[in-house]
Amino acid sequence: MSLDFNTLAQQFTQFYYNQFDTDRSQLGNLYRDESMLTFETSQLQGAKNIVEKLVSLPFQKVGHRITTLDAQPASPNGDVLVMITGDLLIDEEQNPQRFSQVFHLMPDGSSYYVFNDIFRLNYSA
Amino acid sequence: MNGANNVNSINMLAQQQQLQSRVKIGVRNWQNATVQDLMNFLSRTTRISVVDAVVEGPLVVGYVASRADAESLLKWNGIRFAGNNLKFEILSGTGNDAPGTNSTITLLKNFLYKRYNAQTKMLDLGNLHADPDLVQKGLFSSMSTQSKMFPALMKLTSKEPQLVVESVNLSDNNLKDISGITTLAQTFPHLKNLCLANNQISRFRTIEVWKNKFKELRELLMVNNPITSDKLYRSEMMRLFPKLVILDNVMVRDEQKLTSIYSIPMKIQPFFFENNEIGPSSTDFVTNFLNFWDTDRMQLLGLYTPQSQFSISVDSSIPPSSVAESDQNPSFGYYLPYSRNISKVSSEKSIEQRLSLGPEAMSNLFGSIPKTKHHLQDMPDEYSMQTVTYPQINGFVVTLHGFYEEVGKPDADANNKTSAGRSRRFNHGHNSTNNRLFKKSFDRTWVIVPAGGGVVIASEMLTVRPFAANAWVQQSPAIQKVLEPQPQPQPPLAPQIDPMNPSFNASPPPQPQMGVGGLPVSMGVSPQQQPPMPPVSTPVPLAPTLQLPLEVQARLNPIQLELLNKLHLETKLNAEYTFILAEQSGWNYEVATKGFQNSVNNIPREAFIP
Repeated sequence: MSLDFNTLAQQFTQFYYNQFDTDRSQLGNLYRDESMLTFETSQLQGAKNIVEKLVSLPFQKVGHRITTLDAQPASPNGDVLVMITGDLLIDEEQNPQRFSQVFHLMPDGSSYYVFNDIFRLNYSA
Repeated sequence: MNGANNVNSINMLAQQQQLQSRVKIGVRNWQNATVQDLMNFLSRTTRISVVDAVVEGPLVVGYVASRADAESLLKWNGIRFAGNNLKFEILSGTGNDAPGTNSTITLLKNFLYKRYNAQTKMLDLGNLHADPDLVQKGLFSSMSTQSKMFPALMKLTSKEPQLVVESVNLSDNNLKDISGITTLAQTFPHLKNLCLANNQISRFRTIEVWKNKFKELRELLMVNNPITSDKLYRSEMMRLFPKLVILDNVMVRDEQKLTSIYSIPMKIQPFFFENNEIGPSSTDFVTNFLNFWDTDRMQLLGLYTPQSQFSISVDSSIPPSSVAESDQNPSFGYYLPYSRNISKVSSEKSIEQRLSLGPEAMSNLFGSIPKTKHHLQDMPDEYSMQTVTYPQINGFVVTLHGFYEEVGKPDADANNKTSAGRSRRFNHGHNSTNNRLFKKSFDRTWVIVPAGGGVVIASEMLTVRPFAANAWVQQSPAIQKVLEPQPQPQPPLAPQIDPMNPSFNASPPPQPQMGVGGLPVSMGVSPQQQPPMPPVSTPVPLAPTLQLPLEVQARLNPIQLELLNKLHLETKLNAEYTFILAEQSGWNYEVATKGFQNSVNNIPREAFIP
C-alpha cells in the first residue's frame, strides 16, 4: 500500500489528462476488455468501445484542469480509487465546464489500468 | 415502547427462578431409541417434563422443574422403554456429588447447564456468590474470587457446543469493572443481549476493551451502575456497540432502519442487467444512508470497519456567474481543516492525517462538519447516481452527485468550542460569513462490500463544492415516459428513478444541437452515430412487436432503429428492454449481444414480448 497511492493517483491523472488532451485515441492502453466507462448516463464496456466513445465526443480541442484530487486504496489488492473534480476547457469556449470523475485503478503487473471510469459533468457555464 | 421490554424482563426473571430451582437428572438404558423418543415417552408416561436433554456418556441428562419432580421420577425406575428397563438418577441438588479437585470441573459444568436455558438461549450468571450450589460446594472459598471463577466458566462454556448462547445475565455480581469478565467477548462474539445491572461499574475506560467486540449486541442493561449517571453514557455505549438498539429499556436506535441499511441485497451479475439487481438496492442504501447522515450520522459508524476510510475534499472554485442559482460567495470554513485535496495540500502529514481510518476517526470528522439535509426523496431530479460492480471483492461502487442544505453547525463546534467561537465572533465581527450555512453541491463515492450477512463501507470520498444548479437537470427525460408505466417492482423513491438504471435520470441521448450554452460534450449517442438529421418518419421497417413510442422513435437515426429492430428480433425482448440494452451497450451490436447472453438468465419474464 506504500507504493504511495497518493503519488500514483497524481501521476496517473496527470498522464491520463495529458494524453486525453493531446490525442485521446491513444487512451486504449489504459483500459482493458473488462473496463467500464460510465459517461454521463451511458455505459460502455471494453477498451475499444470506450476509446471509440471518447474519440467521438464533439470537440476538437480540449483541456482538463484538476481542481481537487483525492485517492484511497480500494482494497488490500492494491487497487486505488481516485476522485477528481476539475474544469474542462473546450474549443474556443471562454467558460470551462466543470466535471467530476472517479477512476478505479487496478494493478496489472507493474502498471495500472482503469477498471471503472465514471464521468459526470457538474454544470455548464 | 418499553412495555415489551418490561414483559421480557419479567419473563427473564421468571425463567431465572425456574432455572435456579430445577434439578438435573440422568436416565440409563435408553439406547435403543432416540433422545426425542425418550423425551416423548417420559412426558407421556410420567407426566414429568424433562428439558434440555443431552447425551452424556451412557446417560441422557436433563432437567426437571423441581426437587419434587425429580423424586417422583425416581419412582418410575425400571419402567420398560424400547426393550429395556429405564433407570433414573438425580445428579444435582443432592449434595452427594463426590468432593475433590477433579470434580470442580464437573461441578462447574453442571452449574453451567443448570444456569442455561436452551429455549431462550440464555446463560444466567447473575448473583453467582449467592448460588446455593456454588456456596455449598465451597467453590467460592476454594477459588476465592470471581476473577478466577468467571474465566474458568467461560473456558468450559466454549467447550460445550450444546450451549448456544444469545443472552448473558451478569447482574448482581459486585463487579467494579469488567476485568474479570472480558473473556465474555471471546466466548460469545455474537452475543445479542447482555445484562450487567446492579453492579458497581463506574468507568468507560474499563469497557473500552469490548469496543468492536460485540458486533451484534442489541440490548444492554446496566441500570444501577454508577456509570449510567455520566452524561456521556448513552453516546459512549452507542459508540462501543455499533448495533445497540435498546439501552436500559430505552430504544436508542431505529432498528428497522438499521436492519435495512445493514442488509441490502448483494446479488451481483456482470454487465447490463446487473443494474436490475444493484440499482434499487444501492438506491435503498443511499437513501437510508443519507437519512441517517442527516438525522443522526453517528448511527452510521457501525458500517465502517477499523480499516474503512473516509475523506473529504473541498472544491472551492466559484462557478461562473452565468451558472444558474450558483453560490458566488461560498464558505468552506467548516470543511477546509479536513480537506484532503492532494492536488492542493502539499504536506504529507496532512494528507495522511486527513484520511480518516476506522469509526473513531470518522466519528470525530462527522461531528466536525455541518448538519445537513439532503433532498434525494423529494427532489430526485437534482441527484444523479451511478452504480458499478466491483467483482474482485464482490462489492460495488456507488457515486452520487447532488446537493444538500447545511441546516446546523457541527456538533463539535456547538459543544466544545463555545469560548473559541465566541471570541472569534467578537474579534471578527461581521466576518462570520466564513461559516455561513448554505446549500452545497457535492460528489460522493462509496465502496460497499458484503461482510457477515450485511455490508460495510470500505471506502468513502466526499467532494464538497459551491452550490450550483446541476447540469443534467435541464434535460427533458423523455425516455422516462417509456419506462414509467411499466409494472416494474417500484423503487422506493420517486417514479423518476428507473429501476433498470441506477442513474436517477435515465436521460435520453440529447440532441447534438444543444450547443448554445448547453453541453457540447453530450452523452448517450455520439453525433457520429446520430447525424443531425431532421427527425422525419423512419424509413426502417420495424417489427410490429417493437412498439416504440413515437417521440423516442423520432429521436433515433435509421442506424439506431435498425440496431433496435435487429436486437429485438434476436433477443425477443420488448421495446423498452431492447432500448435499454442498446443504450447501455453504447449502440454497439456486439456488446449488446454479449451483454444479453451474459445476463439472459436474470432478465425478468416481463422483459420479453409475450
